[in-house]
Amino acid sequence: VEAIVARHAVLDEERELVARHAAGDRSAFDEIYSRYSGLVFHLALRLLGSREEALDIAQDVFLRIHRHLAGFRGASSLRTWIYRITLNQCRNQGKRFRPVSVPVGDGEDERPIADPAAGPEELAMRHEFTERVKRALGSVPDEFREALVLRDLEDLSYEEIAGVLGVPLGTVRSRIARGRERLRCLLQTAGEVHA
Amino acid sequence: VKTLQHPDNTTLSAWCDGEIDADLARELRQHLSSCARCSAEVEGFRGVRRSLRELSRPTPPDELQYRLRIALAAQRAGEHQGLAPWWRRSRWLFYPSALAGAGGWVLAVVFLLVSSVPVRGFEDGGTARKRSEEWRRLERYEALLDAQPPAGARVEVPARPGSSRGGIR
Repeated sequence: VEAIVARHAVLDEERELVARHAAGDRSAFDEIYSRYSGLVFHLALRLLGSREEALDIAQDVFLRIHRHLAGFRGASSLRTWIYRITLNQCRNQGKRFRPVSVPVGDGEDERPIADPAAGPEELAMRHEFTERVKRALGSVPDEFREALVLRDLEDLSYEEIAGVLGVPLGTVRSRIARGRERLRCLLQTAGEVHA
Repeated sequence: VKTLQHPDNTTLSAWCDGEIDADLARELRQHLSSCARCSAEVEGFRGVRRSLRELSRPTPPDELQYRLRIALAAQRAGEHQGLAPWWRRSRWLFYPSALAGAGGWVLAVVFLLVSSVPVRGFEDGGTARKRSEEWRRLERYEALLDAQPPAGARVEVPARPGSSRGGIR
C-alpha cells in the first residue's frame, strides 16, 4: 500500500511539473533537469560507451523533453517516458558500442567505486576490472545490453523495462537472462566474474 | 517448474531479481537447495550483476547544463525569428501581398475572357454580312488581276473595295 501511495505521489508531482512547464514556468524544466540529467547521461554512457556521445545524446534528449513536455499526457510515468526518449536517441545514433581506448569519462566524471582505505595497487586493479566489464558489456548485442543496463544498472523493474522497451514481460525476462549469459561468458573468458 | 526438474536460465535469472511469483519462488528455493548445477547458474548470474554494479555512476558534467542553456536560448531565438516559416514571420507583409496577387489573377482571367471573344460577336448581323461581301469582292478582284486577258480585250474591272470607281485594264 505504501508503495502504491508513494507512486501516486510521484505521478502527482510529475503532473504538476508538466503543468508548470506548459504554463511557461522555467523553473519546472530546471527541476526536471536536476532530477533526470543523471539518469539520461548514465544510460547514454552505458549504451554508447563514449562520454562525448553521451553528452550529445543527453543534450538532444533534454531539448526534446523541452519541446514535447507540454504534450505529455501521462500514459506512462515521466521517468519511463524520459528513459524511452533516451533509448530511442541512442538507437538513432546508429553507432554500436565501441570499446574505447581512453577510459570513459577519464578523470572527473568517472572514478572507480572503491574503498577509500584501499591502497593504490587495489585501486589500479579495480580500475582495470571495471574497464574489462565495460568492454565486455560493449560486446553484448544491443537488445540484450539495453535490458541488462536497465535492470542491473538502472534498477528498473521488469514491468518498467517492458514499458521502456515496448516489449512483453516474457521478452524482457529472456533478454535479461541471455544478456547475463553472454556477459558471464565474456567475463569468464577474461577470468573476471566477480565472486 | 517441478522441484525435480532443472528450471531454464530465464527463470533462474528472473528468480535472482525476485521477478517470479511466490509459489514458483518457493519451489525454486527447494530445488536450489539440492541442485548444485542450478545453484551454480544462479551464482553466475549474481556474479554478473555484482560485476556490473562495480561500474560507477558518473554525474553529468557541468558542460551539459551549459550546452543545454545555449541550445535552448538558440531554440527560443529560432522560434521568434528563424524557425518559423516566412509567411508566419511576416504576416504584415503577407496579407497585403496575397490580396494584391489574388486581384492580379482575377484581372488576368477577366482580360483573357474578354480578349478571346471574337470581334464579330460585338457587331450586328448587317455589318458582319456587309464586311463578308466586301471580302468576297476583293477575292474576285485579286483573281481577275491574276488572269491573263486576251490581246486587245477590254475588261471591266470591278471597283476596288472602298473606291467608288472601277477601272479599265
